[in-house]
Amino acid sequence: MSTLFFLQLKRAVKAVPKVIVSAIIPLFLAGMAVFFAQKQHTAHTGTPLSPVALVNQDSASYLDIILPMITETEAAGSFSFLEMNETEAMEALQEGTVCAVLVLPKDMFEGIISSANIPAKLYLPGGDSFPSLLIGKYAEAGSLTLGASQAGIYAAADLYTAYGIAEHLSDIYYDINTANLKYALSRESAFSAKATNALGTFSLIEYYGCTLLLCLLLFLGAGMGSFLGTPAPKTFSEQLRRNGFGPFSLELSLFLPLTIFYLILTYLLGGIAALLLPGFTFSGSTLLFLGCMALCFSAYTQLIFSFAKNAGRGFLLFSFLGLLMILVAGGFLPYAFLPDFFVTLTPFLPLGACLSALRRLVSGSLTLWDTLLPVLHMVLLLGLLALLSMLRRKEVRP
Amino acid sequence: MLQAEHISFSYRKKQVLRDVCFTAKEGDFVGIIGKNGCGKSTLLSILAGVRKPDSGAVSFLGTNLYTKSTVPAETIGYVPQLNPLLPELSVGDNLKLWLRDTSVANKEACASLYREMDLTGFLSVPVGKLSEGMKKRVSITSVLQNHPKLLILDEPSAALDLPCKEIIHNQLQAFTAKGGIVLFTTHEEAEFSLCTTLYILKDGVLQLADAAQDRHTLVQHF
Repeated sequence: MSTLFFLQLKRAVKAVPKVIVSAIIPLFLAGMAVFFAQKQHTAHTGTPLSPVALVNQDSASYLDIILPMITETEAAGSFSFLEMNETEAMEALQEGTVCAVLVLPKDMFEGIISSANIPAKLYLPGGDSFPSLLIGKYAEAGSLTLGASQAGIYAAADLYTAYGIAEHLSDIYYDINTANLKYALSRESAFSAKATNALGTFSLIEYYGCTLLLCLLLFLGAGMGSFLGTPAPKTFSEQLRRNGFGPFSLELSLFLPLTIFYLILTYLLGGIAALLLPGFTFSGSTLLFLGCMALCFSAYTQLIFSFAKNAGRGFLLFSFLGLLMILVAGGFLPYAFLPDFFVTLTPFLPLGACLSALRRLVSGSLTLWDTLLPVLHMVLLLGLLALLSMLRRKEVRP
Repeated sequence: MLQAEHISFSYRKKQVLRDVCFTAKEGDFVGIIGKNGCGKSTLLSILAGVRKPDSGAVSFLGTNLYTKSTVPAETIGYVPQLNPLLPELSVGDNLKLWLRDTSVANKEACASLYREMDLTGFLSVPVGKLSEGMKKRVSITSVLQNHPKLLILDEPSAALDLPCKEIIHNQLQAFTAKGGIVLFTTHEEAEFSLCTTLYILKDGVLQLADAAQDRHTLVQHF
């Protein structure tokens, strides 16, 4: 058994250069696919930098002051505003050259002051496009800010009346409005309180860094799995069986080198991640989690290749299911763009659980359960593998 | 003594072996000939304990092969048609994998066997880089190094060049001269003369053939 194990380990070591080369192509293809999918997604719905058509039907003099205040806010920085008439704006919306139409109705600003509250209208294209979501959130935040501004104006008017200086009110309305709007609109907290970032608390690098780490493990594992997981010619396993090694021993002799390969790879990639991702720090719990993830990957690889019985078929099945699990776990597109049940499904998928835990590790909120869930998956996968081995033993035992 | 009694075997509905019986004693060189797909390899795999027959029994040295959990690989050496070798590993590693007795004395005997099989210069070469003939030699050596008493070979000389064939024939003859039993399938006319017993497998039935029969009569069975 020890000879078989050491020779399988030797095979694994010899295969490393080939595995690295074989991983580059699918990684490149996966990267391209994600890039084009993202591009297609944003192209279909308008880019985040698409202009917003502004239809100004109000002639209030405040507009010259207020509009720059809005457009200079950080949240509005993703958009440019084009002034159009309503017909042109609606045509542009239909053509997709603008991502929204904002109509400021006649006397809207007078209405704010006089509490008539004539609402602005925001037209968005159908669907859940990213710019639509962003503008929707932005409009919500804007209305909150305007609400706060109005409250300030009315409070000032009430106070002037209460202190008997209401006769001066008309003279200083302009100053009151300007000051209130200035303070209200400069408060970015109204926007930051509304999380418009689909990546949550992660930076883009952290979010996709986690995905990349998992994809690297997946494709390097696919190369090694297709190499180690298909030891046959069939006669090889028959000879092993004649020599007293059952299917279980064969699986074990493959599982151990595969696990060593994943452990080395995981810690190596973890080291690189620690250098590149600010939230990724090495500690005892990090090492434990990476080890558990390596075990989970090893069991997943072994099961799929053992089930497929063929290197090519195994490679395809392993990669397809792996990418699917990463997709479900929001690895390629954030959950905001995915069906809700994907979130529920993620912990039940081995690679989904690994990706979620990896993100928690980066965000500094890794729990013991996150660490142990991949081990639970490993146990289940090995259970299935043992079942498969038993069925095969039954099939072929002389 | 190897004894096969009333062996029958079917692949789904196709019966490939029908009531096959034969015996081979120490020193016998038994050849089995027949058309492609007639069941020769199936018969050998049954005799080697890889496959279980639908009915019948195989015993070697008085032990029924199918009452044991594993076939005693050290007493029955089996070289299947496809080489059971790992191509990424060297010849030496592949031989090491199948070596049962790792004592110093046996290692010395193995070194001598490798020399006789002309493998000494190839021990560090990956099997994947060898010719088919060389691979076959490695497969046969991997079995011979365990000193079996029965050697079952499925077309051992297929794809071999003449010097290779000679090396293998000499080894097999030396093996039977020491009291071993060789059982092999072949399509090579030149190998008929090596056989002490020649069988023809036709329509699932094993018949004794006369190796001295004229070529035309034997070729009819291919």
